[in-house]
Amino acid sequence: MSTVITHPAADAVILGIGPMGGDVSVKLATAGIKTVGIERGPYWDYSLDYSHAKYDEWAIIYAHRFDGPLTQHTMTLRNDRTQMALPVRRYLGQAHGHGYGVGGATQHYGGQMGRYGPWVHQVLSSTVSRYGQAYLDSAVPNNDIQDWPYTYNDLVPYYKDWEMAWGVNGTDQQPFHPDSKFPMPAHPATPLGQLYNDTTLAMGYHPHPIPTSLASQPFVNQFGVQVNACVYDGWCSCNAFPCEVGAKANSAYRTVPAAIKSGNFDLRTYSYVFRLDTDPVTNKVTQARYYDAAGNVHIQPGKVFINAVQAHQIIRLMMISGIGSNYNPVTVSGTLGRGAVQTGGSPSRSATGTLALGANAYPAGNGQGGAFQFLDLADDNFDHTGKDYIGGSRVTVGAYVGSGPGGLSMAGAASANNIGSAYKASLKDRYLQTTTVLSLSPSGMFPPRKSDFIDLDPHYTDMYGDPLARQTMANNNNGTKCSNDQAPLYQAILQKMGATNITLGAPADATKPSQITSWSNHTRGGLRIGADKTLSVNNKWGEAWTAENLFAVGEGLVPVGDNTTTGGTHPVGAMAFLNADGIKKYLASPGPLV
Amino acid sequence: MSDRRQFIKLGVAAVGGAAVATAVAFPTLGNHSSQDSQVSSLQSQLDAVTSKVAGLQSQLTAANSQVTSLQGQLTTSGSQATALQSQIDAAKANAASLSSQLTSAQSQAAALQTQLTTANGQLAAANGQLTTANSNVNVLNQVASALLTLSQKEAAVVDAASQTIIPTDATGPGAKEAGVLFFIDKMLHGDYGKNGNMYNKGPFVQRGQTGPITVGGITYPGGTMAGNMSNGYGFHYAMTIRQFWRVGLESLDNYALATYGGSFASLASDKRAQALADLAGNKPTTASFNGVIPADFFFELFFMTWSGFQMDPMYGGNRGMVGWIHTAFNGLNTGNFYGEGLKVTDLMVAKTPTRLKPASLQQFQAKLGITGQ
Repeated sequence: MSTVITHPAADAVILGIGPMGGDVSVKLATAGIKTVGIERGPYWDYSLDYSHAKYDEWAIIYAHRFDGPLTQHTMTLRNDRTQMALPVRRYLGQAHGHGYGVGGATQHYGGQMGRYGPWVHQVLSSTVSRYGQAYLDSAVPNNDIQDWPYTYNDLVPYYKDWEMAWGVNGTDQQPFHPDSKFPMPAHPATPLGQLYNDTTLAMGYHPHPIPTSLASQPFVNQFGVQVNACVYDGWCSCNAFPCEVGAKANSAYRTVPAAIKSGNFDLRTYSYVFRLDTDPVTNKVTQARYYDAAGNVHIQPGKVFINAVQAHQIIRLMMISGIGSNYNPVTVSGTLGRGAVQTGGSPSRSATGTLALGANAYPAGNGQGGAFQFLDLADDNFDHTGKDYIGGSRVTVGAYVGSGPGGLSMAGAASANNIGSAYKASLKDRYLQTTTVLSLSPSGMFPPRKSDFIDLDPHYTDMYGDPLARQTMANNNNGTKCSNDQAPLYQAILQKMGATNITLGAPADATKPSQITSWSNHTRGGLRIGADKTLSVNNKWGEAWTAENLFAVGEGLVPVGDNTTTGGTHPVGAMAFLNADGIKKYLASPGPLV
Repeated sequence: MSDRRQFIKLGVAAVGGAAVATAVAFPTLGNHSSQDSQVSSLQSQLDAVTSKVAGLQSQLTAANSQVTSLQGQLTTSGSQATALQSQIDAAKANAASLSSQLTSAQSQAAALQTQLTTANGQLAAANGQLTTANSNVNVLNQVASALLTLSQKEAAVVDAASQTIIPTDATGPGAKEAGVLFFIDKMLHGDYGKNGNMYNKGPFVQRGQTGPITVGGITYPGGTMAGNMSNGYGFHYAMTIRQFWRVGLESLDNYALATYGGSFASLASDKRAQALADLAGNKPTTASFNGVIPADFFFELFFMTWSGFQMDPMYGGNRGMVGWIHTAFNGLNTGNFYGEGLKVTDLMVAKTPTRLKPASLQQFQAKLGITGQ
């Protein structure tokens, strides 16, 4: 029999102790704020949970043993409003599994870092002023782009604080990202990465090592948390692999330990939050309700609530709790669920060549290190006149190549042509790479549109009977137009690198949107921050316009992100520290912060 | 030898005795006329004696000659005897030495015998253990090769299909040697077959419908997204993956019979490849596959066959790590598993590849001390 258990009120209640919920916890708890953390999964111990098991590709990649069980909840997907959305029933082919446990999805991401550049904060105003509204409307029909409520420079202090906490490594990203010296040195370069760096530098670009959060050296961060360095033993790709030495940065091994040590953080694992109750008069959130593993209902009252579950789930939780105004795509009104985008994956054009450079293709190194990139062809770092797209691309080259046999694309290779000896022979000694076939595919930006949104599914429910989140989203052609335009520039780089057999693919079809049949690891928007409460869910501090004591963190807040310049975690981390300042301001002086 | 020397001395004494006896027998003198006759007689006697003396002298000479000869022989014999004695002494010394060696050898032999007895005892014990171990191995082999969920008929199709997708050929072992059949069987028996970790709630609506469709009172003119089987959006069947395989295998067998004239496993390899290609191209109808889209089933066959060739041996496939040896995958060996002394930090930035002998999870965990014993 389930019972109802009511807990004493806390100062702050954090829903979901993923990367950002965990990062907020340290800021609040170490400031003396009594904080409760509600997390649906366990607190993984990297040495005991991962050290003997992380090399098991079947369990990790295909059975997703460390990821959120889809039996609990999933999401439904469709391209447009005429379709019925169907649920993602199975873990297969997703770039990321859903987070489960302290640290969330960053337990098993690639650790790719990178700030958003100054342009990203002002895409709308910058584009309109430089190229005109007509240019923007042609480049991204039906666009729903809004400026951020603060600038790059406003975020820099938070970037620096967060980069120390997570140990971001690399060199600075001048000239495009001012004041961006990272605290840790880059990982050792691969021969291919070095060649890309040297070649593009000679061509006048501004290459640098890819920033990562995979510890390049042991260190102790500003919260006194000791961090081990990467051991470079591979099995580190973003698909699902956790790190057995804790070098893959996430809140579980960077910030939450200090929150717990403060004595002010009460972490409740295996707790599944399902409702936020509000006061009908004040519209403030009074309590959160969650299930424990035995099915008991717990009630946790508090002064302030921080919604930090996965992006789709934040929106879902607010909708099923009746907080905020749901987006209506017909009338283009309401804000909750509006402006959702994902990482990209629009059809792209490639330039391909062969380099006389061998490598070990089996697991070694880590998920992202060793590579180089440049931002000269990204954002608005070049003149877009006559281009008919916004933003640009970034192609990262030279990451440690190693991966498990799942990386052979066994699943992706299923076709009539691959039955029998010829395909088998093509994989003979596949891991001993004597040459490098380098394919450079610029992948363009995915800007928000009025047609892409998240709401509640009318057919499918989670394991407790509450509606699932439904994603209505299709790739738009902005990215494809960019890719078609820029691929020849990457062909020129291949030539300068000394590649042979260089081919330039035909332009990709930019006339129609392509399907999105997998959830993205970086769904952005849907909970956007903004200066205008009719266009955004939250003010600049992540405080809900409709419930003054409800804050949110995470990628849902991003008004416009540029998927081509960063993995996405890095800016959201800085934002979480900014949000924590807002939460502290609120507790010191309750009321709307804007 | 001493007997013969004694005999020669006795012979010499006998000759000397005869001469003395002759002198003692001489007669004394009488009257003269008669002395003459006596003289004559004496002369005659003397002559006779002289003759006898001569005879005796001759005999003495002969005897002396014999003595000399015998003396020579004796000298020779003595010399020979000395030589023989020397040989005898040497032989005796050898014998003594050999006797000593024999004693020592006998002592060693006794020690060795003891050791041999001990060793034989140990061997017998080891043989006993080996027999037990062999028996256990046989049991384990039977377990590993035993089917957990597939029927005999299903197993024949899985076996033939996996060996068609990854044949045993000039490039080395294939699905057969890797035990892909047993990987698939084991997975179908576990979470994979039971939709573990999957979202299993209805309504079950197939993807790729053109519409309009009406579900739960809502009409969708656009139908559903097409997608494909290779990602998480792909599977929309109102059955477990185990049931999906059951339907797929039976349908494939029926299709083979109807189209190629024999059960799938009975077809020649090129016909089997053609039948699988037909599935990949959705040549059979979905209706003929009892609602399963044929390409969806082909996807699972292909995906699980390669997984059985490339996933860790503990899942029942990739036996002897033949799949990893084929692709030159290293498994858990990052350069020093077998004491190669290679550094992973060198391997990750190498310009030329290095083949590593693969290691399995079982080997790795045993190194950590996780043995299950």
